[in-house]
Amino acid sequence: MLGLRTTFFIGIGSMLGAVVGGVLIAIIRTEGSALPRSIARVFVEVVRNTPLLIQMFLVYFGLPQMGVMIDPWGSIILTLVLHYTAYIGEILRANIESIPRTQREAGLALGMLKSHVVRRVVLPQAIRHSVPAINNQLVYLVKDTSLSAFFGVKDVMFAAIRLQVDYWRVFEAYITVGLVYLLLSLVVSIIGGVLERRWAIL
Amino acid sequence: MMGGFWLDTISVIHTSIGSLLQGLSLTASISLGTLLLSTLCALGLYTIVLIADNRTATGAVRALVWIVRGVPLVVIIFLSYYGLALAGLELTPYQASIASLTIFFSAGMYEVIRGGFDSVGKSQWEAAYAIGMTKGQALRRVVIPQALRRTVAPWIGEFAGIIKGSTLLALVSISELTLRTREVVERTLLGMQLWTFAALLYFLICFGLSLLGTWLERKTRLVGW
Repeated sequence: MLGLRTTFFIGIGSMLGAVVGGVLIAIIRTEGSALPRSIARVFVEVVRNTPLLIQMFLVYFGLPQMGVMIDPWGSIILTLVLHYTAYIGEILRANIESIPRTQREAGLALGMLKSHVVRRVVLPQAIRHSVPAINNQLVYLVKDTSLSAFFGVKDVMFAAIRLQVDYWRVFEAYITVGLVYLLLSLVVSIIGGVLERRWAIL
Repeated sequence: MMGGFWLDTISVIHTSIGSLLQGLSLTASISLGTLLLSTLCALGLYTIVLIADNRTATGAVRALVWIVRGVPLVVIIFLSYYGLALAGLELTPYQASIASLTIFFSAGMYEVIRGGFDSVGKSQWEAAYAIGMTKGQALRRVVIPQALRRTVAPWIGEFAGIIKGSTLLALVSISELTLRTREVVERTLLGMQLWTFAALLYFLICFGLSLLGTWLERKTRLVGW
């Protein structure tokens, strides 16, 4: 299938970026000082309440206007990463804050440094609790890679549109591509399910 | 940034605001229509599941919902927008937009409703039966009031999702806010300013909705469970 490799790369690249970014945002929002915390909060609220397509247009058309030359691939991946960093960061932050204070206190009582406590006690639990929700977001991410077709990236969606335009096969093209995305979502869900079970709270 | 940037910004927004607001009203109209229809469809689906009380029916509905939600919204829009015409259904672009969004968001609304009902624990049902209520009474007097309260915030959240999803209609040439913004950008090349302005409009609407949802959630919360 043409374009599958492209969809794959954009998907996996953005996923990694978004997860890393999400962890950063969550840590800034829970451990940071006042100013970084507010900036992160504003970032998350703005990105979550704005449509993805608008964000893509903003990055794709706006950055070059400001002098930053960026190619289609780059702008799509950047937009997807920023967008999902906000969602994943919010999920992690909520889960970190839901870990009872007692866990932190226990760690400190045992003599751990504050950073140790966070890394070894709080974060792992928060991450385990977040896996289902983050997995959900990653499935949305995979589906949203389809928008890259409209920015000149030759992915699976682009292939489907070409099929429709060149051969007038509307149903076949889009139903097939729909199945492809379903399969990809399934794969991501299964991987997430495996991780969920491996890291299950006993 | 040079003064020219800001002068351009003010002048372009001043000139194009009429067109942009027209786009916004179409966005609002399509989104509200979708909200109404998708909520009704989802309620219908969930009612079927409740009445049938049959594992196969529930499974079939959940599978259908999973499939619709697992396909990107773009694909569903293209499929319905171009496909419905081929299948013999004559729809205006406006109707086709609402139809395609409704298909996708009915599934989303179903999940919202299901989530609301599921969060009312089994114990509530059991308690109702234990004091002799029939299924209908249990629903009406015990479960629905609780489920309704828990559904309000996610429902509003899904509405925000509908508004954000409507932006994809620009890709099939529907003149809503996103397409109109794009037209102005193509004429004036002031992408940064215009897309930021469009983002601001969407942000105000969606953030406003999210605040509304939080407020309503607090207002309808009961002390206790």
